[in-house]
Amino acid sequence: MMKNTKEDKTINEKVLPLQIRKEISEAIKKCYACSKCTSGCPVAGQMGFGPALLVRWLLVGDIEKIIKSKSIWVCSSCQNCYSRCPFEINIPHIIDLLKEQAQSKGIAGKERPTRLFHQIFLFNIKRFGRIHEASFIGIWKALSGKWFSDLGLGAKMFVKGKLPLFPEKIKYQKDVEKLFKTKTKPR
Amino acid sequence: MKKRIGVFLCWCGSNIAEVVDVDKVIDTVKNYPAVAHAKYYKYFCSELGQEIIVEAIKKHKLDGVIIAACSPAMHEETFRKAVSRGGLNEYECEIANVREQCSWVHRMQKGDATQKAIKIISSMIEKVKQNKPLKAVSSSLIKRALVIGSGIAGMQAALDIANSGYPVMLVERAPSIGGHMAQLAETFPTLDCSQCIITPKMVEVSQHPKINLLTYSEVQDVSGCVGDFTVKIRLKAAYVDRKKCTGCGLCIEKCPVKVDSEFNQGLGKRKAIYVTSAQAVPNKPVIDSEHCLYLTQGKCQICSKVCEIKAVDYKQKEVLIEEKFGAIIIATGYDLYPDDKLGEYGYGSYKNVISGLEFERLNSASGPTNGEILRPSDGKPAKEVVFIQCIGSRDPENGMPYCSKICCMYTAKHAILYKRKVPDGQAYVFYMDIRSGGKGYEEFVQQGIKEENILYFRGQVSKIFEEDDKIVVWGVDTLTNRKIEIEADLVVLATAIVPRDDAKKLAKLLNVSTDEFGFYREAHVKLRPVESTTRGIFFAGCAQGPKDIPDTISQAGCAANKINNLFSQDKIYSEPMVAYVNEELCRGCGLCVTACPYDAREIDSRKKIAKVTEALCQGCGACVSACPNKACNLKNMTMEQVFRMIDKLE
Repeated sequence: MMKNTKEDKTINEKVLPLQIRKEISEAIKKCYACSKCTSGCPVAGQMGFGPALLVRWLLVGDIEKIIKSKSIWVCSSCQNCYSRCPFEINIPHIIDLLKEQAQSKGIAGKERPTRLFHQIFLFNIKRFGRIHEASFIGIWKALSGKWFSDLGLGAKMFVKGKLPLFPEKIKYQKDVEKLFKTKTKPR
Repeated sequence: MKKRIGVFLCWCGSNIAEVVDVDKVIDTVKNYPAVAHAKYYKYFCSELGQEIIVEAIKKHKLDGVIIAACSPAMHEETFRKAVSRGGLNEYECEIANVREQCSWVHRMQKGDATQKAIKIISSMIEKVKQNKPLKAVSSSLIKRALVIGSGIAGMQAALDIANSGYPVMLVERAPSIGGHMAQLAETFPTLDCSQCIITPKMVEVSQHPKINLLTYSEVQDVSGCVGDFTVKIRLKAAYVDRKKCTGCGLCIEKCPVKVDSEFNQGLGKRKAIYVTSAQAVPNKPVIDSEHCLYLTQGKCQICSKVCEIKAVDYKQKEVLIEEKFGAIIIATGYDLYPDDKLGEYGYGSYKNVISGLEFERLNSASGPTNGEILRPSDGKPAKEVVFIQCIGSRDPENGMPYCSKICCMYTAKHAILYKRKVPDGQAYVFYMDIRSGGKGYEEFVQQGIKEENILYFRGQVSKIFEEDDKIVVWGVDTLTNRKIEIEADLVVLATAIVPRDDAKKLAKLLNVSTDEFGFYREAHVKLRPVESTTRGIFFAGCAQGPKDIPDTISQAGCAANKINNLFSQDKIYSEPMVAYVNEELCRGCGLCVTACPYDAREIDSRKKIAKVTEALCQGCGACVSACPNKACNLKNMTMEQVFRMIDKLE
């Protein structure tokens, strides 16, 4: 038996439920490590390890390492890896599954700003139905403490009218709120 | 008499004309005293171009022709035929190579290239000046072939020749035919049962009226040349009259001696009187003289007592027979990488580390475990199996530098077969690269990975050791740099294919060359892949290099076809540019005899001077340079011709 692998249930059951593990391993076993995904990934340089290695690590069974890494949070879900993959392995979907689990189980890594960004973004959507840049930036600055980053860029955007002071109303605001209230089946 | 020479310069489209100034060449060459006619044309190899040559020979009464064109390897034969249509002896035609040796290599130096072309042509003019009309050498041809080795390659070749109507003798040193393929369980990529494919062929070979099958026999000595080989074959003592024997098997049942079975790679036992397997052809036993109690200690004789037809004959002696053949196919197959070099992987120390061929026997329905994957050490089912590829292959320092070609595929096959027999088991494969070139091969490997959940790790293993009753394999997945540790029940090594240990000995007997490892060397890697460096001797199968079954079958068919081509003529014709001896100068020192690589020279016992066997001579010129008296010369390539040619190149 291989040690510390996907077969080693004691570690992984806590981290990732069997059903999701099955879904992931079924998808990634096709991978023949061509690295086409990493070579096309725009954020591979920031990820720590790119999508190819991520898949490979999952394949050799070290899910814990992946789920605690910053890689899954840096991914911008641009779907480039998915569309380049010769076997159509849906890597962004796998990363989404991992993010979801990491968030709900509270085992995510230390990449606080990235996660915070995601949280504020979702809060904003929930509140206004679509993104309201001004309030988003305000909350982000307040919580992250990065008061002075990108100030020049912000000023330029403001002059061009890209940062409206009041949020735009959307037609189906109620539906969006409903969407957030819908309980997903617990994984 | 002064010769009238015609020079024909080919443009070769733009290949030559673009670099060489053809007008200048023709103008210069025209003025040479020996040249009676000079002309260029776009494509002399075309039908129209050949007609121009034929007409020019007749019109200008030429008695020597130079075609300045591509390499003689391309079209020498074409132009020689054209020249003979013009009524001239074909050996009065010479090719001046101004494409490969001039225009292609001097694309950037056009002026110099033109000068070089003129020199090449004028040097050839010197040769043609002294060329003499020659006649192709003909010799007798025995239309009977010898096939050495009766694996799938030898059997296929023998059948292909025999089905064309020529008699074949098939010599096999084992007691039965079939070779390695008979040992295999299933074959990739279709998972056909190997036995089911090969057994009908084995029966066909043994029953074919044109095939004379000699099992338990070895080639002892070979002499002669293409069309007329004399071969001595040693029929080993089987101690059983195999003509009388009915193959009832009673003697095998009663024999008290048990030894490791070679056919089962040592995983099962056989008796001292044995047939290799239940499906063996011919299914008649032989006695292993090393282990038989009567032959070693003088007691027992049980087999003789139980044999009702008295076929057992302890006094049988080996017999030497002499046969004549026109052509020979070497299909001696391969060996596995030697066991004693596998100590690194624990082979030999741990019973549960086995080779690929042993795993093949475990898998086989007729094998020692009846097809169940059981551990050799304790007979328990194997739940985790590690396969390791490239054992001995692609390892220039410690093993063989070449790729054994079939290991990637048979490992994939093993893993898939294992998973089908043990669905709850896990198969791991350590590999360096996966080489799955071939029809349906890549898909087969991917099928193993996707459908059978075989886990592939890119990287070699670092250590294999036994702990409790498990084999612990340490390795690394180089894609993640993660250390891998597996507690396996069984480890299977994909060992390299190596030449037969006596391949070089046989090569010496047959006077063919081998490469540095002992695989037989082909006459040309691409254009003549089944022909040896000696005319009339061909290869099929792994004797020439590692290959899989489809490749082996095609090569065997190709070799058989070459022999059929040869046998379709009435006589053997060979190039007349051979050595000859000036009898007034030769003093019979014999240096040419030792210098000749083709056994074409000998000392005439009556005249005490050297003579040439023209059918064997390849015109290499080794004897010419060895002869201290300058008595040896090559026809149409005499010393004088060569020196005059060199003079013109200065």
